[in-house]
Amino acid sequence: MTKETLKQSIMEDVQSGEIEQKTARYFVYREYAVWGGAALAVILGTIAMALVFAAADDLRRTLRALNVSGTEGLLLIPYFWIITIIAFLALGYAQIRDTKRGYWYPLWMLGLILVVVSTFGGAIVYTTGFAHHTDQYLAEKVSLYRHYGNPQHAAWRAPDRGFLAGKILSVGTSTCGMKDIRGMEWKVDLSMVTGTLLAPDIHAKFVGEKIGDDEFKAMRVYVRDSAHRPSPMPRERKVESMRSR
Amino acid sequence: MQQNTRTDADIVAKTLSDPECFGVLIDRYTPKLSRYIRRISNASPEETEDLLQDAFIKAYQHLRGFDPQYSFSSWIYRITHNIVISKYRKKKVRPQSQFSDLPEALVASFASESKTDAYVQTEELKEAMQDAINQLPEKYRDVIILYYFEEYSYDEIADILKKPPGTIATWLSRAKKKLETLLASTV
Repeated sequence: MTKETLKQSIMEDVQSGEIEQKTARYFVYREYAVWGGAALAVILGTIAMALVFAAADDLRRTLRALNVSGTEGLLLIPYFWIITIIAFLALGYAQIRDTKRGYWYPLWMLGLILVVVSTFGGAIVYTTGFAHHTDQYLAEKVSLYRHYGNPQHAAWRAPDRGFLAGKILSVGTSTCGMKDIRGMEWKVDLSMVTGTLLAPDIHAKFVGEKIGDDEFKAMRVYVRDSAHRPSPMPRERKVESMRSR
Repeated sequence: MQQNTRTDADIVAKTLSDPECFGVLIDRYTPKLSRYIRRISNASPEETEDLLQDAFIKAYQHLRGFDPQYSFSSWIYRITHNIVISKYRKKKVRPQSQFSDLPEALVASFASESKTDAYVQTEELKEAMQDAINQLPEKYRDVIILYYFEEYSYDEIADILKKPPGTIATWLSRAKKKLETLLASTV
């Protein structure tokens, strides 16, 4: 094909409408979609970061309460959320690079910005209690999550080893009723634990021993308040019972 | 005649309302892009025409996506580059480069001072250089071709290859070092 026939061929297709220009709107929507995708990836990465903060916050207490160290402790790290953060930030980076000028910035700069934004954002989300709520919800609804998403949940659901965690259903004089994350109901003897305020609907963790098929004797208890803020590490405290609301 | 003195951005703007003006851009860029395609792929004349046609069609279809703040030349080179790479990726064959000429700037960078016969030195060097360029990793070969053969700046090459300018500078530096090593063993 000569130069003239090449030009002729293309212009014939242009004139006949065989090839058409994409509309301006297409490019505007495309740019919005790319930036929207980047923003969504960063938001999801931020939420995942908040969940890592929540898990890390619990991990310190878990390691001390369960007397876990070394390799066992490493198994309780929330690798799922760490991998999720990396995946979402990588997706966000790829989306930003696809924008009109995103490729102009080196990997280390965009990577650093994304990490800083998701860390600060994650810290803010964490303070709202949203991360703990989400973590708890997933633990209750998804059994795989208990073992692989945040393995601390599985570690605390081991009554035969003296660990039990769940939601308080009712509070008596020296006992309470609770439901663990698998939905099984327990009667917990609180006679050996003093000073911790328990109330229905709060989440608590007990260290003690299993005394029956659905009975547990607590030696120590850890609670979160309604905003999912943890209580300090307990010492000897008197249990204050509250009637069910 | 008047169209030929207008800038690329002006012609693009006119083409959006009058598609006939696209012919001016075809005339303007056919020689450059044909040479570029052959330089990065050693395509036959027929293949070059096919690739060129694909590039112009894609450019026409995406004309409203062109931002006049930036260089049209870089933009259409990017489209062409991607079409060529895409085609050879499907074939799973690495395109080889073919040059009928070597830029003086490139030759001068590597000419040895030890040989007395300037003609032999240059002709030998040119042959060795062609082989050496073909041995470079693809990304280094691309920047050598765009910088020395197409005479683009770092920023323009960054726009064509969609990489940061710092990366382009690094690749060019590494490409030249690699060429030196390859040439040292042959010339």
